[in-house]
Amino acid sequence: MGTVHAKAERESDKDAVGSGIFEFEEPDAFEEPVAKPSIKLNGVRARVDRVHVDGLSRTKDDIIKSTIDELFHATDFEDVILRAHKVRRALDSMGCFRDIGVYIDVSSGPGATPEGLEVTFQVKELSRIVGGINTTVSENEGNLVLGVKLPNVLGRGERVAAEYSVGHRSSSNFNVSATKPYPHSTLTPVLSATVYQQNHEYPWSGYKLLDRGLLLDVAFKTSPVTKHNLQWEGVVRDTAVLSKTTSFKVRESSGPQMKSVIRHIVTVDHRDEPIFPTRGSWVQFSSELAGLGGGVANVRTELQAQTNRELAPGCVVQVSGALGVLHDMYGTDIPDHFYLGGPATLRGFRQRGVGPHADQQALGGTVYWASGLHLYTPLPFQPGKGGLGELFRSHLFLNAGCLAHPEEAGLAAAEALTEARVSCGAGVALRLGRAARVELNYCVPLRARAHDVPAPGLQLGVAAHLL
Amino acid sequence: MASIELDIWRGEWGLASIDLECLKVLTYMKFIGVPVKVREASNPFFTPKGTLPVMRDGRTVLTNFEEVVTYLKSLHYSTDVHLNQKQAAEASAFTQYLRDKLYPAYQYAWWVDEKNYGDITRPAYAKALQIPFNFYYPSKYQSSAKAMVDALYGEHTDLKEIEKTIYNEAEKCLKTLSDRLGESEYFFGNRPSSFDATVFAYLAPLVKAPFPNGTLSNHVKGIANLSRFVARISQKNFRNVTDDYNRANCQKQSRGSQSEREAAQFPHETRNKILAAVFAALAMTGYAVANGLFQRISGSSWQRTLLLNRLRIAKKHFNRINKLKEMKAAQGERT
Amino acid sequence: MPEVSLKDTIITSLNAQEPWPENVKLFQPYEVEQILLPDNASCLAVQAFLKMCNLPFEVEMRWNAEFMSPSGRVPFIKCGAFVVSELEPIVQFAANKNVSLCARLSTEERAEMRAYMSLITNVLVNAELYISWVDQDTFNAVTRVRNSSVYPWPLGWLQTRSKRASVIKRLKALHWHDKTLDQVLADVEQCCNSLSQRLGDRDYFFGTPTELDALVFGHVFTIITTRLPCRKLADTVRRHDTLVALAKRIDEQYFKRP
Repeated sequence: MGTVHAKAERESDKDAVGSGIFEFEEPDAFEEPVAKPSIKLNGVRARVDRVHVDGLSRTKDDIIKSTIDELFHATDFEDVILRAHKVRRALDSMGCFRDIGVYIDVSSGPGATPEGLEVTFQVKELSRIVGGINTTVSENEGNLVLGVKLPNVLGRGERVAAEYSVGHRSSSNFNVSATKPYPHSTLTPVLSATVYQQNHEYPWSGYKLLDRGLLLDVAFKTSPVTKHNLQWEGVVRDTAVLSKTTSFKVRESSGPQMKSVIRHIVTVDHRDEPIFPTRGSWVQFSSELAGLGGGVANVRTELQAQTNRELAPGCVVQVSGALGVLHDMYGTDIPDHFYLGGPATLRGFRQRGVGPHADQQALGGTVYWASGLHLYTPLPFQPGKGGLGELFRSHLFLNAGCLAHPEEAGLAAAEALTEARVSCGAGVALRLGRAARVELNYCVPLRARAHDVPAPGLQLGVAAHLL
Repeated sequence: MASIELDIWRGEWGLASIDLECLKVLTYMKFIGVPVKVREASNPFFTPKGTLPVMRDGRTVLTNFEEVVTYLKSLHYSTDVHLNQKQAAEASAFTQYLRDKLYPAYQYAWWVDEKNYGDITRPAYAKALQIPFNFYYPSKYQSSAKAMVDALYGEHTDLKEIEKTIYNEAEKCLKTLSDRLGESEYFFGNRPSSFDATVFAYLAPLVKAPFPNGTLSNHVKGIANLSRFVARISQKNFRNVTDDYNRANCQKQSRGSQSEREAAQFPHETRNKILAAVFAALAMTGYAVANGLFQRISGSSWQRTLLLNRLRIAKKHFNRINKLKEMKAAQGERT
Repeated sequence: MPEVSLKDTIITSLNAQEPWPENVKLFQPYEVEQILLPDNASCLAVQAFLKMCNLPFEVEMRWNAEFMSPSGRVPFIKCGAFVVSELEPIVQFAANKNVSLCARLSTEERAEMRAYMSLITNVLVNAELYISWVDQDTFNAVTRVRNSSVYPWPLGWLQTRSKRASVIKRLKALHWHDKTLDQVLADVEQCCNSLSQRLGDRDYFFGTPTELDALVFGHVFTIITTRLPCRKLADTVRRHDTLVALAKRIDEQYFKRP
């Protein structure tokens, strides 16, 4: 039971990303109630007579009732505190409130029992509509990012969020999503629907994509550490070449295409934290089936895994691997392919720098594997220990991987996958909030093949998940 | 026959009118010597299509050159009687050729090129218009010119590239035109035709208007027989306009023309100031609102969205830097 | 001296050295089920030009030829590393390789030829676009069906909508959209008149085949052989016997191999 609690806390912690990019470890204020009691609380018999929730206006009662229900099953005082804490986390994770306060008092008034307690939650509901305006300027484009969010629209934790970013050079991205959680059903499913339009440029392959699509997603948990996503995505993508010098191979795949994809992603996460874990393992397996409608049909599976072990305090060994297979039925083009290389996958190579190229432009492949071995240590001499220094790690790494586009299946494909590329190096990694990290590495490609584009020397990478 | 009336845009820089279409009609009428009462309109709001020129003859109201030519022909006024059928065919082919190659460049030079638009086109049209129409029409004409350029050359994403392509085409066209004209006085025989009026209307503004960005007009000025053609026709048909302008120019040079230019700029400067103030105020409130709201957000995934967004942008930066590095490396290799 | 762009110079200097390569491919949309009247006309014109020059090429049909083309318009040729689209640039490209049909024309004749080519691209092309995309009957019965034939539903519908919007935008910018069908046909009539006046009773416009003949062939042949619900355009063109004869002559001579 205890471990489950700890896990549940971290799970919701992960969602609570702080406001800044450079965010410190959140002081775990909530741990206080359970910290080293000087009196044995679990000997004190107690029961909860009454629970107040102050500050509700829009939120529906039924959802609150079912959340706080378990407080009434407490039998001793420690249990009350633990359960109150759990309820507080549950309320917080609904995403409807801010500043949740918990007060526990001896109950009084009519109907009060001798060991009775009264628990009061003081909450503030989020305003009906929250918005933000951001401007970002990059080298040759200014962007205006507008965001609007309606938390708790219908009173049961439903959310509608919209983001729109427009650049002065006619590229606009938007994203509107609606989410409906069912926190008290079995498997705690969360339904969401997203409509989006997104522009991407891939200079390494010489094309740009304009995606317009609809994504329906059901997320549910079969165990506290196992998360499933079942998705359907319908997308119209417009591939266009970036310049007149783009390779003809890439040019051939331009034009609009429609794709309808069913996807299943299962993630098992036993790690203690997502960015710089010290123990535990993580596996993600995603399988996609495209072709129920649309002009692209393929089967695509990808497996990613990672395991961590702490050798000495602060010194962690991480082994990670990834594997992907794409089987084309018809219409599979360059944007569907797997790509390998770059600071997030195979360090020491240019972005998408591994595998088949035409005129210096990556064409991608249909099978790949990649692996990484890391040794993480705190920064040398540990500056800023316990504070800023905790955001940094230094690491040594060894990467190996291979990407191929075998024309025929079977033995030839297996052979193509033996042409491994290897690189090693060392560098510094910086945690960005709880969602991503930045790495600055000095890389040495040890083995490359013809057509590969190695990038020895310093390499900078930002990503949510790095191999 | 009632007397013919013609509403046009006013002239400037020794041109009878600043507008291509008006100049076409006006030149053609001068060629055939039809009695016409020319009015400088101050607002095209009540014209049938919101454009000038407008020719009125009794109850007949015409708004474009081809219609005017046909109408005058029905009144037995025509310059094109000396053309044989083959020449008439050639004239119509060349008219389309100008429309195809030179017209986009002309519109680009007048309306799309921001510097020309700001320094020449907008003040000239604003001067011709009454308040409040001078706020509306120049930008309306500009957006329609931009729409045309976009529709014809939209496949180039870069405006610089469009400019280069358009001017290249126009240059070729002018060269062809000059080859066709050779050393003759007019394009067909020794009498002016409607095609001469068209060519003059295209070229005269390019020769006479003082464009700050004069790529196209330099092309015209660089071709001797075409500039002579323009000078000849304006000398013969618009002598009084040219002379007035030259005289005024001499006086102006002695007095300085600062105040006049300011007067022409006046409504736009005020407008720009007001717009700037409004924009600044909006930006500041927006920022304040945004900050205030950001503090109040405690929901997590929203901030994650923002964070990811920032990440995306940071990533874009890095990619760009890498791209630049590669380009440099590639250049290094080549040299 | 006008500035000449670096790329043009490079292309020119590269081209001059190399002869016409063997494996030149001409890309165009599917002839049977996809191609539309205006595209078909320009593809045929380019094919005729290449055949007149005796340049070997292979036709390849792709559903996305339009999107592969650097200018967004078909046809385009792939010649070694170069990708060149539309008639005029292709003529220029061939001229850089010392293949030209109008080498013996005087400068005045060349000027005239350019003018007539502009006449066609300005009048006939716009009229074809007008008939295909603005005329309701033709749009519903032919254009909509053919344009969406290569896409799955609902992409075909979206794609047709957006393409129609862009064609209409183009026609609006050129003041063709507010014309009535009769005005369009009158313009076509005038254009054909000019052309047949110029052609007279010769075999070709300038004695021997030039790119102008190729262009006229492409458009006239396509217009008179394509079956559309709106027959008026074909009828208007068909009235000019000399043009029709020219189209038949070129078809016999260059396209009907024994």
